[in-house]
Amino acid sequence: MSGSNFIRGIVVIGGLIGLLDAASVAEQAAGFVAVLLGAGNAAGGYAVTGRMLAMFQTSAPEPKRREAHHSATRKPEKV
Amino acid sequence: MLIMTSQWLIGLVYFFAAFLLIFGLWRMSSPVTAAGGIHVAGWGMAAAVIVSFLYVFSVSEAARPHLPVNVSLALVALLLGGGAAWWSGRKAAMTAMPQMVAIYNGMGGGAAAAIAAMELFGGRVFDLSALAGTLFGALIGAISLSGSLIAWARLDGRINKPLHMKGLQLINALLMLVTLCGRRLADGGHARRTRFVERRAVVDRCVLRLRAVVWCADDVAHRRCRHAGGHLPSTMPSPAWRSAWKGLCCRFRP
Repeated sequence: MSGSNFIRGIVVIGGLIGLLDAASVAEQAAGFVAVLLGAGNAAGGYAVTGRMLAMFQTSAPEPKRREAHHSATRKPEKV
Repeated sequence: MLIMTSQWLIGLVYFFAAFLLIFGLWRMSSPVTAAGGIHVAGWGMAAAVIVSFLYVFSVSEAARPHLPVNVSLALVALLLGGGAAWWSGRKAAMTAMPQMVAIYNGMGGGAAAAIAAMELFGGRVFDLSALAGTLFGALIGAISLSGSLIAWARLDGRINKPLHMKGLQLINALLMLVTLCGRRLADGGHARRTRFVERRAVVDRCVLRLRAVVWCADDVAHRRCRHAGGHLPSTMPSPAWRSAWKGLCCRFRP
């Protein structure tokens, strides 16, 4: 979920393009807020997701299953 | 020539960044490769942000005198917003993660609403369909921001009862009316309209492309989570489709 949240931070690009194209103070203010919030979403989402996944990694039961899966797929090749 | 090259480069890097984002999300959906996935997506995001500054070569005439101010504003906003969120995300207690995700999610909504506001302030929206689209974006963004803020406050224990107010619906209806009427007052002149035609297409293409990427990536993540035994609601229409998708997932599992 927080991974998708990070991807949502892509709105920062829309804010950046709009801000660079701003021609009035109102536009600049709105663009500044957009980039500020968008960058916050992206950076915060990245930090939180990274921490969560780092925690996730230590107790990964998946590798065994993966090996089993691989050997299962390899068997027919040998025959 | 410079404009052509920069736009071509922007398109190329956006495409590459989109690929990295999807690939990162795809890796994140499997526990084995998850930790690497976020880094891949992070590189994609960084590339997209950096290359967006090439847009300075193709800004409109009206925005050209403001360019140095705009670029420094953008840099300050990036550093300030990104730095603060990074620091808080690193520092927050592990048990406080749900409310952190909620507040970052709300920031994304706020950014979307601010982009819509910028479009309206700039007089870039003049026909009904564009106006409806922009207002819809503003509405969704604002709802996402306020809803996420309330979710954050409740998760953080700052609000202990459901937020309810007498006449809340009336206030909301009034706000909607003001939104619709205020637009008429802020209508731009003819010069702005031509500027709109020039620039709108470029911005629209970029934003739409990225939005499509986000949708695709979300969809892929949902389906992969489902396949991995997650509890996300399935969007697959029929069992036949689901089994076909499962087969595909197994074949290309990283």
